[in-house]
Amino acid sequence: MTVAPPNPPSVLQRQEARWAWAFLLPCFLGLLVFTYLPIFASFGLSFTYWNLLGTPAWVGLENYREVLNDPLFWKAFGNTWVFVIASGVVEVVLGLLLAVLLNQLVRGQAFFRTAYFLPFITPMVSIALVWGWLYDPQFGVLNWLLQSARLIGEPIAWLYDTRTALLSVILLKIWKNVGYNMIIFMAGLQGIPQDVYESAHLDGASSVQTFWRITLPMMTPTLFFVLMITVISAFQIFDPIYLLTQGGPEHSTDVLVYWMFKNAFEYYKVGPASAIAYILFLIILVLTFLQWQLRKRWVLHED
Amino acid sequence: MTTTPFPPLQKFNPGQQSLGWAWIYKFFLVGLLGGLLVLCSGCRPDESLSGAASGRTTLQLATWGSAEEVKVLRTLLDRFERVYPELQVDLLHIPDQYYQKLHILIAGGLVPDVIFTNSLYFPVYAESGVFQDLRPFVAESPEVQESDFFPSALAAFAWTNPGEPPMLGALPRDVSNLVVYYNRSLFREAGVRDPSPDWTWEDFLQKAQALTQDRNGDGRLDQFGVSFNRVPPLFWLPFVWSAGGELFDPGFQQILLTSPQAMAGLQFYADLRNKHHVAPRQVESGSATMSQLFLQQKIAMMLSGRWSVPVFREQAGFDWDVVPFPQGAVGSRVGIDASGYAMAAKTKHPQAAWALIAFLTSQEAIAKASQSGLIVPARQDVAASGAFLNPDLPPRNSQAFIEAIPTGVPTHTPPRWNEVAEVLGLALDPVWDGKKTVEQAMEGLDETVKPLLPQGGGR
Repeated sequence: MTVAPPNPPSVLQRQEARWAWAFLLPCFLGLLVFTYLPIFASFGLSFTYWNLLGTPAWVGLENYREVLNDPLFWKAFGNTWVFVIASGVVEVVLGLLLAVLLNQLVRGQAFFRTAYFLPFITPMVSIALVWGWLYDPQFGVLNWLLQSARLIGEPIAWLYDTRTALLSVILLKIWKNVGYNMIIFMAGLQGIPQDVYESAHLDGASSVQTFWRITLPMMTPTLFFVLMITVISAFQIFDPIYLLTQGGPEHSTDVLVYWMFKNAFEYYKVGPASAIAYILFLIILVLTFLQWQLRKRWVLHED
Repeated sequence: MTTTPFPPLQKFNPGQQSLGWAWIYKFFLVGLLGGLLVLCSGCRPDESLSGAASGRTTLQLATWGSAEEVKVLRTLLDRFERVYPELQVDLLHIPDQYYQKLHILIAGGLVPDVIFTNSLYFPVYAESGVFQDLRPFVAESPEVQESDFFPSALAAFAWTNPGEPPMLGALPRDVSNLVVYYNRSLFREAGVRDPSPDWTWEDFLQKAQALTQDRNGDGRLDQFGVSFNRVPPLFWLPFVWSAGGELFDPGFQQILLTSPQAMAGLQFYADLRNKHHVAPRQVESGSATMSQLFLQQKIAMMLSGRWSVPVFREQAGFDWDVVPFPQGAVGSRVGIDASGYAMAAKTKHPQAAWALIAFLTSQEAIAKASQSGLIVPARQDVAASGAFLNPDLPPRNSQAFIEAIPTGVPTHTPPRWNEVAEVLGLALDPVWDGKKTVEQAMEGLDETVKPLLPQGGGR
């Protein structure tokens, strides 16, 4: 087939393009006003002093210097990394495991798929409320279970103890998000052609060998996508912290986005808050770039 | 085509399409203009359409408060609009995150004309020139005198910017101070006598010890003598003051919590929980609030303000009363934090805004607001009246709230109070959790707080 010479757009095409713009406009206006403008504005504000009441005053790099010298920023920075690594690893591994197991299930697949996906589409507010009760040291069901099974003696204070608070929020996040990863992995699994498995089976490959030699390599594009999404969403964690611990006790659950929020809307320090936002942006940018570069090493059959 | 009432639906007609395009274009234009109009009418409440049409001036009033509180306020505003037919009030009710929202409104140039505020949080607005000085208005007003109010309530809204005369940031509606609520039924059961109004910290501790019990015999305490709340500084400042300590000097030169008296007060409070264990630890109270525990009869005494009265009247299934805070080394001294009405410096209608403030702080209005039991009136005449001291409803000893006012201390807070509170919380949390002594926690506090204090200015 020869390549058709480019035609000038017909009347019909032009009409359609206009309609497309008309339908895109409301959404684009929303994005412009509520996303793009704030992105640029906060970059500018990160070089100013502003308490929301007066007019912003230019301070140059002072906010960045202040933020980077603030031990509480580094506390939030460290907590964020713990959060990202712990929740990231578990969400990806557990999501993949669940997907492989569910994929082998002959009956009840729809039920389990829905059950695991449900937390993902449930609003965080209601989840946080319920988990707050589950974690309650006095009447929470978690302590009751652990005590009934004689795994612990004294009740654990979960969200109120510096040693367990971050862990508690991580567990909640994993529970909420693992179903989403599982669904994406299941879609990836179902995209692997059955004949590859058949020939491996004929050649006498064990199921463990099949997993490591066929499933996993064929899944690397999906794995890459899931890894990126999981890491980015973990860096942006905010709502369960805001709802359950407010960064406490003793800043043990302060993470970067929450610390940014606190600076802007509790201390009214818009400059440092904007600086934190751009530092976080830089971290995510570098990380995504690295993942993108490393992808060539381990992601198979890319175009 | 113009003659056809119903154009054919299925036929493709480019002419018709371009008509549709024009229509869509107009639709968006109208929508955009409409949206802008709505936004602009929001930003200029005094020029809102209804106000302009009727020739009335519209004032915007920002407040927080429960549904019941707002209901009372609305009836008051109806009355105000009848007295001043040329004015109308647009009530902006912000139930949660009040000061965040207020900050955003101010940043957006949408300052309400009259702003309800609390004395703990008003310095940042007074310092930035958001609030108008009310002294000149009071001086000229025939209906409001400074002497109508408790002096400490007015003092709570005093502020001085460097190089300027002292200002009155707001006119108070109510004062909040702390008393001890106690469950008389539990006192009876344990054979503990009612606290006397002049009781001391030793009496307080003894009663708390007698009321701390393991009622179901499972080896764990399930009833505690006294509540514990770490919110800085509300619940621990009475211990500092009554021990002879202070939070700041009036000019905010430094934080004074490191004085031996202040530290003794803080340590007594921490010891209630960690040494004597007469107050619940975090693992024992969990996510329950102190009010909930008091209502469940799991704590016998609770440090709280007047705001607990309506809910206890409604829900307490036992006999309860209030008693003044116990006496420390220098007596019983609790805070006087006031809530009241401030005027925006940028209001276009200062006289109308003043009329609203004078009305809302009048005897009639404050008496109405006090009837629910939620507030301690800032006006002396209402405090002495039946609206507040209702003998038919608990607590019998409502007088305790009034008696605590003359000895009360307004909490001096600097403009960057939220940050200072965070630093104090961080320093003191390990003390409340029994991991550090007060002395250890106060190390270096001076230097951490110093950069957060204002250069000049104060109360």
